Amino acid sequence: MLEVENLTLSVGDFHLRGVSFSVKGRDYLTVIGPTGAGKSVLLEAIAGFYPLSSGRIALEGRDITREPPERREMSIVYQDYMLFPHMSVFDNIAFGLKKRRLSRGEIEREVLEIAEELHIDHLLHRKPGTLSGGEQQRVALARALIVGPKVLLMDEPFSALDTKTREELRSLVRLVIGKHGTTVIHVTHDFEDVFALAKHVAVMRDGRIVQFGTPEEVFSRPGDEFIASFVGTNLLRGRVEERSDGLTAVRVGDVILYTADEAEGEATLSLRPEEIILAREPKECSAQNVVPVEVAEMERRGQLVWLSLVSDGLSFRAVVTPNAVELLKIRPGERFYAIFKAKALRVVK
Amino acid sequence: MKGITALALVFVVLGAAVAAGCIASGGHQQEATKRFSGQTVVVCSGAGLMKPMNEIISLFENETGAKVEVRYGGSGEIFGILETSCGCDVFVPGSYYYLEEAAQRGYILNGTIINVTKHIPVIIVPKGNPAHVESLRDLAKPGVKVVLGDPKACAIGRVAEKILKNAGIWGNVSRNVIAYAPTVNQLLVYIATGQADAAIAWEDTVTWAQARGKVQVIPIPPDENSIKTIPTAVTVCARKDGHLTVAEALNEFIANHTSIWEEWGFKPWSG
Amino acid sequence: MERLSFRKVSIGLTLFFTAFLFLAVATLFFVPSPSEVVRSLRSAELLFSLRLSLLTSVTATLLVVLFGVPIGYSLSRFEFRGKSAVKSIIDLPMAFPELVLGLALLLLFGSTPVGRAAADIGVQVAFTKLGIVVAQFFTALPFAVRVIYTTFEGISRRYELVARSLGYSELETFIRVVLPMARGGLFASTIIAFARSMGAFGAVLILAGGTYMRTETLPITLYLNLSYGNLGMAITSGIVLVLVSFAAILLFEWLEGGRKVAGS
Repeated sequence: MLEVENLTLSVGDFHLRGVSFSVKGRDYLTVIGPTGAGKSVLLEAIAGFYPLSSGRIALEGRDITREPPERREMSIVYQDYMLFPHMSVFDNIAFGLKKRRLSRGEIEREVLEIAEELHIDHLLHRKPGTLSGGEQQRVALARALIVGPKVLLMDEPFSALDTKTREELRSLVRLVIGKHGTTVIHVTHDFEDVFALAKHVAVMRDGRIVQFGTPEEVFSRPGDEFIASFVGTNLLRGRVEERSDGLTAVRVGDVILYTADEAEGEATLSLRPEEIILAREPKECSAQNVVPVEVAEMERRGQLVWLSLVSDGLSFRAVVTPNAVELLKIRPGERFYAIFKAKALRVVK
Repeated sequence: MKGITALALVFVVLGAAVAAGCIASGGHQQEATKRFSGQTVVVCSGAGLMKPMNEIISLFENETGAKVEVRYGGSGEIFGILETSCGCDVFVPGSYYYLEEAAQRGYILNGTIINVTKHIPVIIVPKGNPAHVESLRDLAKPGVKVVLGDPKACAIGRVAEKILKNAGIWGNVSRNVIAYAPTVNQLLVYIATGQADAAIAWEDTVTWAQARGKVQVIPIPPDENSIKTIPTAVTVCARKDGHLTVAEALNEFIANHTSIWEEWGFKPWSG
Repeated sequence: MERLSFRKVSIGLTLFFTAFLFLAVATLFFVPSPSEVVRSLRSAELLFSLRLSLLTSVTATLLVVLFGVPIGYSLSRFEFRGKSAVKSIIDLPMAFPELVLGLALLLLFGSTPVGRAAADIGVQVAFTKLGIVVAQFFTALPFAVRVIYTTFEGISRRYELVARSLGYSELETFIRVVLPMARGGLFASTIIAFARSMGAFGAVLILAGGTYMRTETLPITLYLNLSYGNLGMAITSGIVLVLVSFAAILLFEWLEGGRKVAGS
């Protein structure tokens, strides 16, 4: 639906170097990467705010590379809301509609409808400056969604909010996006956004996309050292089996894992590589998870050794010291037990 | 805003005079070798006389040890200083007229008026004389762009008006006047930049520009001209301020150094 | 202890300066006799120069805003070759005296191609009321551009990007979003341009000649009457200038205040 080919440009210190990817309709792509990787520039380039040095952008098969922003049918939501301070909330939301030949009644009806969806219908007469951060961001969302954009671009939309508001807004976004069937590209530095919303993840570094895939692919099979250390954690998918004694049993592949978090149905779990201990024997210890694994690959990077471990229908990474490799004689193909606490296994979705 | 500036200037002038007086009495013993060491005198001079006056003043300061403060301005302007704040010990206007005015109002000490130089009005035209001005009458030709001094604001304006009235062509010339400038210096700039075809200015003020070929000078015959003198005099303020002796000395010093005046294109007074 | 005494010294200096300034302005009002002020106010000369000052200043201010808004906007938003040089050149008249500006304009409109071209199409700048407007325009423009530029710099580009993405063209975005958001700054720049135009002296004197009852603006009236020795008239024109500036500032405060209340 949206195809980006070989996008190249420079804006000040930010660069894009041959970025290519495509997203399908109703897809939800999150873009992650360190500061200065060019995430926001990518978003604004797709929106048409910068002239490209080279590259091509196509939306639903139509080449829009040379189209100005106003003819791209994309809306943008920023971290700092960017509500027009001289207009009421109503006028902010209605802003995009006013360019269309709609009657006043139609505009009012549509504004009210989306305002109700986002629970801001009681704020319509207010000026943006008097609203809380969460309210302002909902107004910004309403303003962006009301025009029915083909692609909704969001640049760290929840970063300025507190944790609680952020979670509320995430579920609200998931609901509304689902209802409108909007395609989303969402730049974030918060993995919670990825876990909660993303269907696909693109990892950016130095103006390039270094990995593109589902969250599980990217988090559990990072493409290189940089991505591995950037994403840091393993992502596992499973089904909740039962709950007892404050522990939740989740079936991942053919293995039952225990987590201290609560969950129901399908669950996504996060396990940091440094939380895993390897042992030759399944020792009795306080850790609740003991998983028999085989070392598939190992690679020394700097002062640490990264291991790819596989079990029944389950793969994840662990990190150990070179010293431990010597002591335990860790080699590819050898069998061990991976031991980690229930508290180390976090439910992220 | 300019009003405040002007007024603030008056304050500063007053303040400076007072401060200078204090310093004068305080530092008396330091350099007693020279005649007027540590004494102060304030001279108000027409702006057109700036160059010779600067030279004379530094010479006077070196010889006598006195500290001379100068205020340059249009003749009307320095007359204003004298009238409003009694801020001049020695008064050297660009024209005798202002000295008469000052004397009538009792600002000038009797017997101190000395004529220094002649002040000769001339016609000046831009290089190449585009309007072919050869005489006073040519100023009245239609289409000649003339600039004159403002008769109320500066001496040259008053004199030009008098000359043209005596020649009976004031009415026709005034139709050609595109601007009455409040200061002599503007006249020179307007002619040098070619914004006007002719002006009447003091001969001495144009020597420098003439030498550089920026303007040409057309003399006015003596019988049509109104030659003025530049006088110098001591004011009653000098006595009030206790600057009398040094003021009298400076007054004579200005009149006696004719060579400096000549150097700058002035014709010493000889009558 | 030290902080306290520094605080006292600072406040003391502030109060001293304010009192001094106030005294100076007050003197302006109380030195001449009221009857003299009234007589001066009614004189044809003062009425002429007040009217001329207002007329030329309003014209110059309109032109300044008309030019200053696109200039300030392009300096803030667009990148082009020689931009930093352009910025310095525009700022230049703020740094050098008005007299120099007046002289430079006089030379430009003299025997240069620009001056001849203007003369050929019948535009006479030197010694005319147009010359007053030109001098005021060049005196005020840099100050206005500075304020307008800062205002636009303070408005995030992202507002414009949002508006563009919602279907508005560059110009529509400028009119619907940027201008309303820049209102306060534009207003301030208008007041500054007007005040600078009213007070412009050196450049006006040189370029327009400062001719009695012809190209005589209020500051020129003040200067001419100082030369004439007519102190009452000079002070009266000073008073009128102060009052006009004060009215402009009050108007600004009032409208700004109203805007803030309406905004909250």
